[in-house]
Amino acid sequence: MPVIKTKQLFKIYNEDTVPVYAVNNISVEFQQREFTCVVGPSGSGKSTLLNLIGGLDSPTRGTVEVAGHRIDEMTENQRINFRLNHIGFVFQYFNLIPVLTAYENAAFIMQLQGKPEKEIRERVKTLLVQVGLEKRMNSRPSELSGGEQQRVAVVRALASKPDFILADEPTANLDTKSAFNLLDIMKRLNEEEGITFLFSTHDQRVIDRAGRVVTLVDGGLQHDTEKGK
Amino acid sequence: MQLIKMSWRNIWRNKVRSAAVMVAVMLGLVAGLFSSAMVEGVLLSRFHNFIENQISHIQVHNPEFIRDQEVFQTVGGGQIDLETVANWSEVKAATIRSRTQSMIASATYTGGVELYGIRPNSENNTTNFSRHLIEGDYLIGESENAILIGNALAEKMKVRVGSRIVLTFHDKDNNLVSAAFVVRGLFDSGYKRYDESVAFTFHDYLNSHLGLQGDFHEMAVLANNLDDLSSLEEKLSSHFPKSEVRKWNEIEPGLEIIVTSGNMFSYIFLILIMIGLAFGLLNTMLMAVFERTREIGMLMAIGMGKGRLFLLIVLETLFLSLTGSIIGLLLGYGLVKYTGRVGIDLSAFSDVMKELGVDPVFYPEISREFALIIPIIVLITALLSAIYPALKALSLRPVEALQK
Ligand SMILES: Nc1ncnc2c1ncn2[C@@H]1O[C@H](COP(=O)(O)OP(=O)(O)OP(=O)(O)O)[C@@H](O)[C@H]1O
Ligand SMILES: [Mg+2]
Repeated sequence: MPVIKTKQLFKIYNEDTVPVYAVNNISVEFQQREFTCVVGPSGSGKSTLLNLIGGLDSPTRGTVEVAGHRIDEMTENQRINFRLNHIGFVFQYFNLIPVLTAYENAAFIMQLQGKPEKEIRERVKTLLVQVGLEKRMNSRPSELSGGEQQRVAVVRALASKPDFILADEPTANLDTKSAFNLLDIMKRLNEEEGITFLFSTHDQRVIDRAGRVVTLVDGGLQHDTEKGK
Repeated sequence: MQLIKMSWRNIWRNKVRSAAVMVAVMLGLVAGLFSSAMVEGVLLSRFHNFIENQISHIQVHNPEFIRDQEVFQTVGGGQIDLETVANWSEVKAATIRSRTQSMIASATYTGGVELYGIRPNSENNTTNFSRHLIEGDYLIGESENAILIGNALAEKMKVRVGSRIVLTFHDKDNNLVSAAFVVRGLFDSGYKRYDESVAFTFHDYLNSHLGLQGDFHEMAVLANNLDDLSSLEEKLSSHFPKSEVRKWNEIEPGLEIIVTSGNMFSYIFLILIMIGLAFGLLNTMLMAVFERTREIGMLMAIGMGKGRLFLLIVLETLFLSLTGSIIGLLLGYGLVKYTGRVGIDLSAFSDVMKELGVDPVFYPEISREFALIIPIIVLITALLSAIYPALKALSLRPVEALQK
């Protein structure tokens, strides 16, 4: 069973006046452990597609299935709860809660899920060490570099073992070195933890590291290529 | 737990703004508490003055006397009844009086006063009357035609201690009687209009002119404990079956208004302060929500439920308001307690205070009920002011909020 499956997915803005097909009839599947990059020119619908898959937005038509659940049919409150338990998010910016430390941010979702404190501590500390933040655990986001902040966000998304992690341009605000570093970490966690990643980018060098590249143009799926195939 | 930590830290993100709100809440409560307590203090001092120095807790009359104030409408028994009642354990003091309306005249002045025939010792035990004397002596000694008049009246009449004055009144058979008195002492009760309208002589002496035996028109009783008033009233009623026994609030219904109006003032202060508090909180929290639109969008996106988000905003509002409130209430109570013990001396305005019938030194106080209700009302106000900002936060849609 695919982790993510969309069927004839549409997101149309201003359907009654001058329709904008932000997502235009996309049917696509993503399997467990895939490390997929969504690319395309600005305005091609990358963010819109990820938002639909992440249950942040609802489609005009079509279906979105995550781990067998039809999230397009859920109520808003059901979707919030579903996101909490099944989907990890990394955003371009404003990922972290400014008043919490790196550790507290990374532990935030597991805490919302009501996991036992001990389990949280072990899991979050291990992951923070893995991403090289063992010395920054008690720093507030404002004291962290952009790359460090994104790594905390990745740990937060990953810690609760979601079905997959969605990242909309996670490297867009980072310098090249930090961007590669983040990508390496994501790739390693993808391999070690078996977690599915779906992220979007503009950056060709980032694209080169993806296992699968989905190209959008004007809201439609133009190419879907897998490395080594 | 995490929510408490977050909300507490969140209010310190804008230190100046939060501190300003807290200080404003604190000052508002201190000022509100203190002004309420001042009003209560003034009114209660007026109230106690009036009860303890004038009407006492319970009075006994012939029911017809209350209506007509005719000299013959007495309660019989006199001295014996007084001794009986004064010996009851609930009774702190009691006294009896004869009363008649009279014309008072000196060489230069004629006016009306109510002439009281009193029993000097028991009167003093009940109303502590002698403390008002500012010149001359209290009613003691041999000369039975001694009279005490107010200093204010004496000035109007241009008489002094030792002066001779004539009072004219009706006896019990409605004959006009004139009696000469010698001014023995002048009093100043602090309440000018009262001082100008009453005069005091011996009960026996007045009764002999009125043609009454040991009878009296009025018995005034001071209870040991205000809580016993109703049972004491019943006991008096069965002791004087034909008489009308009334408590202070039946004698002077206006006094209850003093007490309730004191409460009303306090509540008006409280409501004004709460309106200020509500606006301050609402404004601050709305700003906080708008400033954090993206962050709230992110929280909702990663799965923070609406209940928790609502709670977060409510907790922030509570912390913001309660920090200032707790300090303000403690300071306010402290100030009221302190000034309530040492008193506030307004002797500088003693003329005004006298007109009002208030002691120049008064003691701010707040009722226990009011003291308990303030924190509850502050809490409710804070909760209510949290609702709108919290709903605003909930109404954000994560996709849009994140794009802002
Ligand atoms: N709320 C909206 N109302 C109307 N049109 C919208 C709205 N949101 C997005 N669009 C349009 O939908 C299309 C797809 O937008 P989207 O943000 O998904 O593109 P993108 O590929 O993420 O672009 P970028 O690389 O700049 O982030 C664009 O033409 C955009 O103008
Ligand atoms: Mg985008």
